[in-house]
Amino acid sequence: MIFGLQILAVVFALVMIYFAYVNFKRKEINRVELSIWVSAWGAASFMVLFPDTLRAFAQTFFISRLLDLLVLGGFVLVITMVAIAYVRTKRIEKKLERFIRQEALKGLINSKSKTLNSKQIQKFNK
Amino acid sequence: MKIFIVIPAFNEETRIGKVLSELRTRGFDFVVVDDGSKDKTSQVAKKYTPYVLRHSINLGKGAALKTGCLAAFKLGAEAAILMDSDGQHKASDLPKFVHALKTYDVVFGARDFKGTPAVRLLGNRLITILTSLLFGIKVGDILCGFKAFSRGAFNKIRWSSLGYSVETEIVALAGKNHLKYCEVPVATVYYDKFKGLTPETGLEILFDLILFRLR
Repeated sequence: MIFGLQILAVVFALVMIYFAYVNFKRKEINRVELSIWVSAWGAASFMVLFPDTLRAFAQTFFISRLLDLLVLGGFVLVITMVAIAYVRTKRIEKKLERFIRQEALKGLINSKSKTLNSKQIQKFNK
Repeated sequence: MKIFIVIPAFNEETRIGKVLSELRTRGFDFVVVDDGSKDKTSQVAKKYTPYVLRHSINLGKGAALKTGCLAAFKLGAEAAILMDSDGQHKASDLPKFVHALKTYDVVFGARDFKGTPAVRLLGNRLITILTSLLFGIKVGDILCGFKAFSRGAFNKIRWSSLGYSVETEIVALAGKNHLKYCEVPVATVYYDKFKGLTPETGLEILFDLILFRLR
């Protein structure tokens, strides 16, 4: 028997698949990324509709209740995604800082002295 | 000794002119870094010095200071003094730094805290204690932005903080690198209680302090 909450979860997954498709059409994500998102939401829907399939998996990890497994899995997933997002943000921040500094130091050359050349700026900017 | 004053500025068109005018009167060389201001900070600064750099977007105080120091040392400075652009720091204190730089690698300004808002004072004390515990360096006023260092010291303490954590990172790196440092008393006037350090940035600094230790 399918419960209301399950229907809600499946509808949510379908909406998210639609968003992934829209992003793909806008060329914001590529075909591989689209496949990953569709597979992830598809798998989530399957788990919601047929939770018993997870029981054997839960027993392997000595988790007695399915809900505990889902909560645990959710935590692991969220923490992993936050960590990845943090690292990527830091990386972008560094690149942005380097670029803006390089542009600013070019302004120094233009402003008065010709003492800095772009090679020197790059060297100093490292 | 050739010394450049490095001044980061963000939306300071009303106050920066007075600061730069006083520096020029006293015969100091200075570099201004406009950190993505939305007002006419750059235009005002350009009236006083050709060395005005502009970040196209606001990166933060740490990033602006680093840009300014790189420019100052490239322009031949042997030492740099960091100073705020809002008139909070007094040009009359600069000779103390110049004098101390003859002996020390790093010179920290130390405020007397008269008139400092209570929240800032509490945060300052907390960060000071934590820094001295984590890095074994005793500096009375870690968050004071009025500081100076030699070219050699700068090469050792090149910071990575973009925001206000730069103040604590400089102290931490000076401690880690066993640089010779001293403190000089400076006067401070608070003009704007909504700018500068806020309780949120204080928490960010505390978090960064632990990261610096783990590095």
